Amino acid sequence: MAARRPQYHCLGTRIHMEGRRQVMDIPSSVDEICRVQTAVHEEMKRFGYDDDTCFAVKLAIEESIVNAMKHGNRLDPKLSVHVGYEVDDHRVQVRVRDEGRGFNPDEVPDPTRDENLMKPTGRGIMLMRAYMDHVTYSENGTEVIMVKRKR
Amino acid sequence: MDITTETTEGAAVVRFAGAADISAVEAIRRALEASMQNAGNRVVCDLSGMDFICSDALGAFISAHEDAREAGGYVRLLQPQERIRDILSTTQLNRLFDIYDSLETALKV
Repeated sequence: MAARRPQYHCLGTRIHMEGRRQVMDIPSSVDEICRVQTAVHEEMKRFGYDDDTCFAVKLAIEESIVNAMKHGNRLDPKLSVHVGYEVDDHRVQVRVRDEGRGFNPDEVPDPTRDENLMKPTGRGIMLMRAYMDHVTYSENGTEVIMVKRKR
Repeated sequence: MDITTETTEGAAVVRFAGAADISAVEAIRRALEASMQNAGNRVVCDLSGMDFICSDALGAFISAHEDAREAGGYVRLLQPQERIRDILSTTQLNRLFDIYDSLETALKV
């Protein structure tokens, strides 16, 4: 059902295909996150995903890209975040990769513990895990793969 | 995101409409800070028009809540939409914030 997407360039963002996967290389600028969310949302709507599932994926994209920009790339404008996504009739897969040094996601403290509840940060990964069906990090932590099944 | 503030009965009511995404976080922080200064650290955040919130925006509300609490005031949440309630529940921030269904009740001491 999905038509082949052409390659094209946007200001600051390069969009291309890798096999079936659409890939967007975005600079570490928060304005670019909307661009990714809109593109994925349009694909999801084409395949008939419901609004709750679209919301969940939108949230996970926000959290994962913000993490990649802030923590992975340390907001270095010279570094990019690579976002790949595939949407079909069964599931959405989103991959987000930064160009930073990596980290260990298992070392992120549990934000629901009493001593962490009033801290303003540390909830991104938790929300990704709660709203997506699968969240997997690469060994060095620079890439996360998230999957959401169609309801 | 649209943010409007009015002062009523000695507290600020700050209305947030739209997406509290990463691009809105700074505006949220400034609005909460200003309203706390103007209303003696008593702020009711009307979330009925908010349809999205990211973790950094949650952080802005948390910081304001903690500052208000330290100063003897409050930051209370009013009428969050269902998806926002779910996020508050998932993050267990419903244990930190007082969440109200009516402005009248939220403004009571």
